[in-house]
Parts: sequence; C-alpha cells; structure tokens
Amino acid sequence: MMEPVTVGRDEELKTLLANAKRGIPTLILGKSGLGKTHLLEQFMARLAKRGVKPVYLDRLWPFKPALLELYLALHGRKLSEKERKSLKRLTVPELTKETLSLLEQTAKRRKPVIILDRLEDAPATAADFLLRLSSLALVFCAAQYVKRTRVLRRFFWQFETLDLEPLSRQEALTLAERLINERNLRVTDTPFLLNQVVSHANGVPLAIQETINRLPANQPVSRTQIRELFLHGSGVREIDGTPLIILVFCLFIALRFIARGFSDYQAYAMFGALGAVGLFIRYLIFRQYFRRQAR
Amino acid sequence: MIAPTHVSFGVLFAEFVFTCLDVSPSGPALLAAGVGALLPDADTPKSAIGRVFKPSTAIERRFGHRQITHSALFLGLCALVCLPLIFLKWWLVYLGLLLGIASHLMIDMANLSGVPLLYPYPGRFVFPEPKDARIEVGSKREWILLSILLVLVLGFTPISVIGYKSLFYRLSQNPYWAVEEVNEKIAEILAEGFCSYLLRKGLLKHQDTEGVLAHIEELRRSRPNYDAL
Repeated sequence: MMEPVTVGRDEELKTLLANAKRGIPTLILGKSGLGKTHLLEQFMARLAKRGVKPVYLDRLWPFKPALLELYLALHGRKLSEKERKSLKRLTVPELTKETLSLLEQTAKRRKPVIILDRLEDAPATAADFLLRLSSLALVFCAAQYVKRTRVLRRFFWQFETLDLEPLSRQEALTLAERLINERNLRVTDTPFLLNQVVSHANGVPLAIQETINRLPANQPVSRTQIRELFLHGSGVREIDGTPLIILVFCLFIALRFIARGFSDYQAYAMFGALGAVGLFIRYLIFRQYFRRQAR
Repeated sequence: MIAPTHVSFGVLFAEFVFTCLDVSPSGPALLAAGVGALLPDADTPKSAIGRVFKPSTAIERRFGHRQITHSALFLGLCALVCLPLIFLKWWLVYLGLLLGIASHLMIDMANLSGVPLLYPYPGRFVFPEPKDARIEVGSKREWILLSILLVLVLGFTPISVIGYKSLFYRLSQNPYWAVEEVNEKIAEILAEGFCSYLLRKGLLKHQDTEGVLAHIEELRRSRPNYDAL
C-alpha cells in the first residue's frame, strides 16, 4: 500500500509532537476537508514510532459506543463475550464510572495519550467525563468548531489551539501533482488540470484529492474531460449575494423619495413600480428560505 | 449561461439603466452591451466569444473558467482599457459595454458555481443561496429564463427609446404632460435650427455647436417659461 500523501503540514506535525513531549493537550481547529483526521493519523504514526500507542476515538456521538470503545482500548486484554455483554448492559453513568476508574489505573503506570476526532459532535452530557479525562490523560483532539457551553469551555480552556489553514497555492499544486503521479494518470494538459483543480479547491486538500480521484485512470485525460471535471465542492466558499439584490431594491425606494423631493413625478412613479417588482422578488426569495428551513 | 441569455440580459440591463438615466440608448450602445455581456466568457474556448478570441485557451489554462474574467477586477480593467471611447465622445457605447459586463457577472451569480466577484479572494457570490434554486447551464430553467428575458427585451426596447417620461404621458393620457413633451421637442428643434442658422451665417464654429445647445438646454431648464418660445 502506498504511503498517504501529506503536503504542507510539517509545522503542525512538529508542534503536535513537541506538545506530546511536553504534555500539552492540543486542539486542532479547522473547517471540513482541511485534513484534521489525516494530520491526527500522521501524528499517531509518529507517536507509534516513538513507542507511544495512543487511543483513537473517531467520534464521541453516540456517547455510549464511544465510551465502550475507549474502555476496550484501555483495557488492552481481549474481553470474553460474556464480559462484553455485561459491559453493554451498563447505563451511561455506570460505564463512565468504569471507564474513568480504568483510566485512573492506567494513569498510575503511564499517562495515556487519547486522540478524539470530530469533537464538535461531543454531547453536552459528556462534558464532565471530558473534564475528568483531561486530568487523567494527555488529550489531543480535532474539531471543526467548539461548542462554547459553560461546562465545555472549562474543558477547552486547558488546550493549546492549532488552527489549520488551507494550503497555499504552491502547496496545493504540489499535492495535486503528487496525487496525479500516485494514480499514474495520463493527462494531455497537466498545467491546465492543475490550475483547474487548485483554483477550485481553494487550498482544501480533500477537495483536491476527491477531484483527482474522479479522473479516469485507464485512459488519457483530455482537455474536454478536464473542463467538464466535476469539482469537489468542499473547497468552494459561497457568499450569499441576496443582500446585494435587496440593496438594489432599497436604492429604488430611496430614489423614489429623491424623485419626490425634486418633484419629478415620472421618476417617482417609475421607481415606485421598480420597488413593487423588488417586493415581489423579495417574496420569492423569502419563500425559498422558508421552504429550506421547513425541510 | 448560454450566449443568448447573456446577450438578452445584457441588453435588457443596459436599456433599464439608460431609461433610469433618462437617456435614449443608441444602436451601437445596445450592441456594445450585447458584446460586453459576452466578454467575461472569453476565458474558455467553449464559449461563443472564446471560439473567436484565440487567447481564450491561454486564459483558461492560466486562470480557469469563471475566475478572473468574472470579477470586479476584470470590470475595472475593462473600464480602464475602454477609456479612449469616452475621449471619442462615445460615452454611451462605453457605458453600454460596462453595463454588459456587469450584467454577465450578475446573471452568473444565479449559476451553480457562482462568480468570484472579489477575485483573487476565493469566495464565490451566489444568488439565490439554495443551490437547488440556481440555474444550470443549458437546463430547462435557463430556456425559460431566456424566453422571459426575450419577452422583456421586446417590451422594454420601445420604452427605453421613447423614455420613461414619455411612457407616463402616454399611459396617463395627461394633456399637461403631453404639452410639456411637445414643448420639449419644439425647444429642441428651435435650438438646433438656431444653431444651424448661426453656422450658415458663419457666426458659430461647428465644434462649438454642442456647447451652445447645452447652454440653451440649461437656460430652458432654469426658466420654465422659456418653453413658451
């Protein structure tokens, strides 16, 4: 199997490793597709090389299966079917208590390293557990955003935040090139493909990877194929232009009053008519929004 | 969007702005609006203008489709490059061209991919925000939009030529406004006649005609009774 491609995350990886050495819990923050999970995987691989075996939880929701997974990972020994069944029968508070006591025992020997991915899914009910967890283990986590509820704020307060930024154009180009080479794609116009992918991906590694994965590997990629390439949307940042349109209609209403001030009754009537058209369009816009909310 | 949609929206938008400014649009100005509406698509050899404009392949290769040419930056660049049109006193053509380009950016906001209005900032402006309400190129929705635009252009062209004021006189059937319009026309004819008389007598140079006409217009507007000429 090929080594996964990592570009432009050396600094972040260095920081994580240094924090692991110094025992500083770290929170990786970044939008979807920026490579938080990939960075955590790379971090775990490096830790494994140093002889540290971290426990990885890919999400904290639903909470009970996540707790069970953590318990089993900390336990180390393979549990019998009977033991598993009895664990599954426990309620969430009971399982939390069991997991924490196991954590305490483990921490007595060596503080475990726990990696929590997709922390934005963490339920508020997990706050107390997380607080206790952070005192017993060295926690590294990743999230798109953090829920700043009162209890969770206390948990995040201890973390050093590592903001994951989109890749620079040069890094994005390098990543795209390496992915093309890795897939052995035969491209008729490589600079065009690279530009097309990179300019739409806006430095989001997942968008670059997914777009390149959509190219056919068994035939040469033509310019037409590149042009019609279905670009992965995770890199696209959309700005709603509705306020601009509303602003134009506001301008019509303002002009109506200005025309009135100048006693230009024709202009007054015209801008009034345009304002009415604007109100109709506004009705259509709002109807769409309400429909969307109802879905 | 396909070229006919862009051209029809460009012409409609230009006519609309000219009408609001109480300016009767000339044929070349509307033609410029139509061409301007196609210009941003010069970044792909697949478009109508890209097939004629050879550097489109290079632009597409360097920037990609719907990138730099679909931004305020491109609009500003075109405004700068076309400045000589103003010195040639073709300001209606100049305005038409810019309105055409602006109309392209506006209507492409309704496209699935939107437009990077603030290029090189990567955010893409879209309208409306829900993706399923936007229009895919060459889809049934686009053909419906094109038909609506064509009907609007057909209906709006006479209005923009006669001017909105004249439209209101006609719609309201108000004799006072009709008299006002006639007065305006008479004043215009008289002023032009006066200038041609001065030209024939050698009392006025040809290049000064516009200045004299503007002065008469100013006088007429400052003293309403002057219409009674």
